[in-house]
Amino acid sequence: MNIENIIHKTHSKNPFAMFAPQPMGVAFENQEKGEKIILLLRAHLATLTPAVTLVILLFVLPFFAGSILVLLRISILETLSFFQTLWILVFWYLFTFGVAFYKFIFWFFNVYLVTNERIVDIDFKGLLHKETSYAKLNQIQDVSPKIIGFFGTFFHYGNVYIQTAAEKPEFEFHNVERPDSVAQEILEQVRHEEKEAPGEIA
Amino acid sequence: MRKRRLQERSPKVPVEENIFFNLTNRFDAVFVTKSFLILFLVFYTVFAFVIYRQIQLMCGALPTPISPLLRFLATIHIGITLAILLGVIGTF
Repeated sequence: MNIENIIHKTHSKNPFAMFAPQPMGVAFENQEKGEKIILLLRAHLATLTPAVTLVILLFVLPFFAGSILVLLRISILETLSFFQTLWILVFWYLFTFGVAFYKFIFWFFNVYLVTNERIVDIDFKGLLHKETSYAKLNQIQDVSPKIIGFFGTFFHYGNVYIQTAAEKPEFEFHNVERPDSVAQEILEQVRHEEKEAPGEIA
Repeated sequence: MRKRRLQERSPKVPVEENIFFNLTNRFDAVFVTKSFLILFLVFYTVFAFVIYRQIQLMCGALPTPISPLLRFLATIHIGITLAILLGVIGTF
């Protein structure tokens, strides 16, 4: 099954998918009646490597904390009771969970959508920063995929740059899987849109 | 003569009675650890509430099948954070 068939004939049921054709049970704010999500994209899992490494380091750090403190000649553990040390440990693992959870939701909610009417870029840039940008398909002027670097080539992910006549002149889909197929699909949707009558949603 | 006067003006204070040493004794390791832990936990509680609010907003912007699970996790996260904060204040 080629990629075009995968996009048009399958319905992704995986809520954590980074390349989800026609995802089931997913909608978005301001979705119009009859508007279908054709592709839902997230950053490739390989881009999570630094975050996963950080979480693993935070997780294993308490196992080496005793030795590190001895090396630094800090004898704080001797002055603390068992329960006090336990509280510190509980807090540490809560903090580790918090970091992992934050990294996860940061990845999970940074989503790019291709619908049969427009492209949508939902950005979750920080704890207090949420941004959503839309561009209608008939405003798209140019689409160019780009794969850069060893990891991008090896895992087949990269950026898709979309020039538009919308309020936001350039959309960037960062680190998405199969950027060439994504670009091809956007262009195909643009061609479909051009054939439709103005205002028609199909 | 001058030396004696100087000695009278600044009498030698035993180490245990010195104000500085008394202060360092009072701020012992346990007290410092507890203070830092409470401070971090207060900040962490704010962080947990912000994450909860952000998840609420993002689930509104992009409803997915796991949105209820994420909301539940964020709520549990706040609950556990508050429980640890109270536990540390009460029993550390």
